[in-house]
Amino acid sequence: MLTKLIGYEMKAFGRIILPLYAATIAMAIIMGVGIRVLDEELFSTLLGAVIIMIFVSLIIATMVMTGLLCVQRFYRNLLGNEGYLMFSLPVGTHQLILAKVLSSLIWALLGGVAGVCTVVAMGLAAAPLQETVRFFKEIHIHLRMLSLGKELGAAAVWFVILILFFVAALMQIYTAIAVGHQWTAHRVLGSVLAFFGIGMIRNIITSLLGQISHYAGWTDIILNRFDENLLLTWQIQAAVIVSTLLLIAVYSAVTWYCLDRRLNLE
Amino acid sequence: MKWTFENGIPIYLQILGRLRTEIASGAYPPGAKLPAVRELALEAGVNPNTMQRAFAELERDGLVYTQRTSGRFVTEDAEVLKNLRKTLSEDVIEEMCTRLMRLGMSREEILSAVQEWAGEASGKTNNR
Amino acid sequence: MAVLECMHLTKRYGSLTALDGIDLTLEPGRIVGLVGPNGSGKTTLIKLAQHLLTPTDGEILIDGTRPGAQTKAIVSYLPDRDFLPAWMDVESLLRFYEDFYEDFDMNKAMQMLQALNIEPRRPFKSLSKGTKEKVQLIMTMSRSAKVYLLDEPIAGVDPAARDYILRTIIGNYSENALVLISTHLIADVEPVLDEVIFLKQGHVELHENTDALRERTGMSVDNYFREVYRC
Repeated sequence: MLTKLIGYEMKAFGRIILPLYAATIAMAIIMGVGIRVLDEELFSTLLGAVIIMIFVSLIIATMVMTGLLCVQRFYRNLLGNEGYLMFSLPVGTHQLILAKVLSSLIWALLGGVAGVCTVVAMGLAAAPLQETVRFFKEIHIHLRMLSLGKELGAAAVWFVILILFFVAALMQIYTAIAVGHQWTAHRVLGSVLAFFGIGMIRNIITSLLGQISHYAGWTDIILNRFDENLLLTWQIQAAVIVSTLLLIAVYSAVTWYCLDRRLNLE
Repeated sequence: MKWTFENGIPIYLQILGRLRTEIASGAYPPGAKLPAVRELALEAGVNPNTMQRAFAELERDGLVYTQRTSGRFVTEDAEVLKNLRKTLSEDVIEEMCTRLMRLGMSREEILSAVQEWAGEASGKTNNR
Repeated sequence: MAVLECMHLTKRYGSLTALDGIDLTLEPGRIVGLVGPNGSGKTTLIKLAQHLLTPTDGEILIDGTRPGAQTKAIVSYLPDRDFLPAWMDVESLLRFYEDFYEDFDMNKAMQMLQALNIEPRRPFKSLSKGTKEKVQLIMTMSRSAKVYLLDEPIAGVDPAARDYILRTIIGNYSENALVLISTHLIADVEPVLDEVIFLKQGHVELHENTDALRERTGMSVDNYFREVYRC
């Protein structure tokens, strides 16, 4: 059921995002051809300026649209009229929420892939094939120098952390919407207030933990170890991962509770 | 013919009345197969349970019988059909007479009026 | 063997009481009308049965279970509003139902579309209101569910569409299924109903067999409610 739900999200996102990807890559190719024909002079012509403007706008539009859809698919599809359809499906509330999170994540990652495709397309269009191949080989060499051994592993860990941050940010918005939805009369206002409220609660808890840690003397220990370089990178990473996972778990629980135990579709 | 229902009378009774008339008139001749409950319910635009109830009444009165696999059939018992016609016509006559009496006609006047009408009616048929 | 049961079911929205401790038992094989003036709690009851709302007090059971993923597999629900994603075409909407509901009969649905000359490739949003209602009904009735919850299926459609919808409901009759139809147009659905439930201000004023009611009162159900409850 979860795969079916995600498949359906892919279609709903795709019909808006894929044309944007296509347009962006098409503009990249046009720009590449322009560069090949006119070289750097392209950027001083009016046509060049227009092309760049369209290209940049398309990139921004794609990014904004992806972000907007991540939120809107939750708000409209679950809590609007379409919610009558979605909440009537024989699936658990957790699956509905998970499908939204995973499909948003997939589209965020696809955005990255589309970005790489855009650069490659522009490169191929701008220069003869051999030159492009050489260019990417160089990049590859640089990357290999950067990511020898452990560093590749560290990069992977940071990548995981980045994904977790994305999920946490998304879940904070979903939680805010789910909580705001409880306030029947002013759902949008409720969601906005809930969003800042959640941020505030998180800050209060963080500073409270900081205070406790300070009075318990943990902060000094950590700082000392930090000075003496005893605190290893993996320990920091583990702490970040665990705390973010914890945050996501709390957000998920609150969202699930609001949508399952206290659902009141208008 | 379109099915219409009057207010205030149980729908199954109205269906029953109509089916009885159709059996008496020969619209469903003796031994004829009746439509399935669901089919007739759909045609009449009524609940299948209501139609089922009307059929059950017909069956109780011996006007139709069920063959387990092939469906419901109109009785071929001439006696039963004769009785049905008698009951139905008695109802019509009674209603007509009540209304005519309310108009101030006596029994004799009604009788002669009916005879006169019958004579005219047969005359009309002959002229054609 | 009740398939839908309410026990002291109560729903409040803030200070407004939409359903006030109602008790109901509905059995399969019946077509039941849920009638009453606007705001009497009809839609609230149906939404509680589908877990789109959470009861304030009391309980509602579908086939002995509280509403959830399990009951939604055996309940076919037609909401009182446009609830389908308008950008999808008719056929993909049917496929969506086929994907999620095991009891959905794709052939039956396609045949019904064909009988109405509805082009499956047309986007849902390009259809007229009457056609939209028909498509939604076809989707709902092409499932072989245990409970059908139809919220105002004939409101705001022309008489031909109304006739089609009611005939589809009759044609789909099953002795194993309960059909609950909410409506404020009693006269139109009256011949289709076994039972009628009359809701008023969140209370069950009356729950009776329709023919019994006609016999007892000497009026049509519609007239009876107009006279007794002035609605």
